Amino acid sequence: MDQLSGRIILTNIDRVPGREIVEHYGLVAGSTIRAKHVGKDIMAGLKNLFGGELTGYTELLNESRQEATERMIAQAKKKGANAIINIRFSTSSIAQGAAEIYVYGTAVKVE
Amino acid sequence: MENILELVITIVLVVVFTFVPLGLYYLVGKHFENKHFASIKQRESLYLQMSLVPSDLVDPQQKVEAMGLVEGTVVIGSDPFKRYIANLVNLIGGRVSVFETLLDRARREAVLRMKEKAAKMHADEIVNFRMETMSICSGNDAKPMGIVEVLAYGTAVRYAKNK
Repeated sequence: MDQLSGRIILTNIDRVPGREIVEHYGLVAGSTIRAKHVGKDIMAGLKNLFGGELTGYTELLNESRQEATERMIAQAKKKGANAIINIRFSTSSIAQGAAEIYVYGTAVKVE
Repeated sequence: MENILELVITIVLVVVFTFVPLGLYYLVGKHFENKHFASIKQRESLYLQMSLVPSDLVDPQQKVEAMGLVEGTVVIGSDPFKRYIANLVNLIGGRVSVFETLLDRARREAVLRMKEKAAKMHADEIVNFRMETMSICSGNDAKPMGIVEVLAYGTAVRYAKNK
């Protein structure tokens, strides 16, 4: 099986089809808190006049989700895992203009 | 006579400073919405072959060749016309259809972005599909709906072609 997302298997189902879980390392998580960029905020404010998608914010949240995922992967690699199963995403707005992105899952070793 | 003149001036001012901008917002918003819906429909037809399943069942008959997490996000905001209508509906209650179309757009776009990522991996289906909607900028009285993020994610699965 070739892995498409780097060297580690990421999935949000609770197993890896066709492979067996041989070791369980427990929960791994990654989080980032991002504040809005002033320039992007102004652009988003302008865009908000006409509604629709706010591309600046979409990019911002995508970047932070990527970063949170990378932190989770780093943690899993440190434990010696080669797959993370049962991944969940959660986002919460913790203050005006700042959002927390939290990603968590179970690090396992599959064979 | 003076009272009537005052009334006429007030009506003219209300029309010029409230309804004309609202009409403009409505037309511009509608234009972008129609354009977006047309593009959504066109792209949705491209990915009809890829099934989207909310359960975590992977076809046991076939061999899984590759799998990976895919996600799609959209951040969407409302326009002043929609907010004005929503404020009016708030008085009597009922369906706020102006926001329904907005969220419909956001959801379908998020699913499409996820499917586009899965298509890059030549995936056959997406299992354990989840959708999350989150308000990242809570609304207030002037803006009943702030900014909403829609996140769609799931596991893309590619089956081996030679069984």
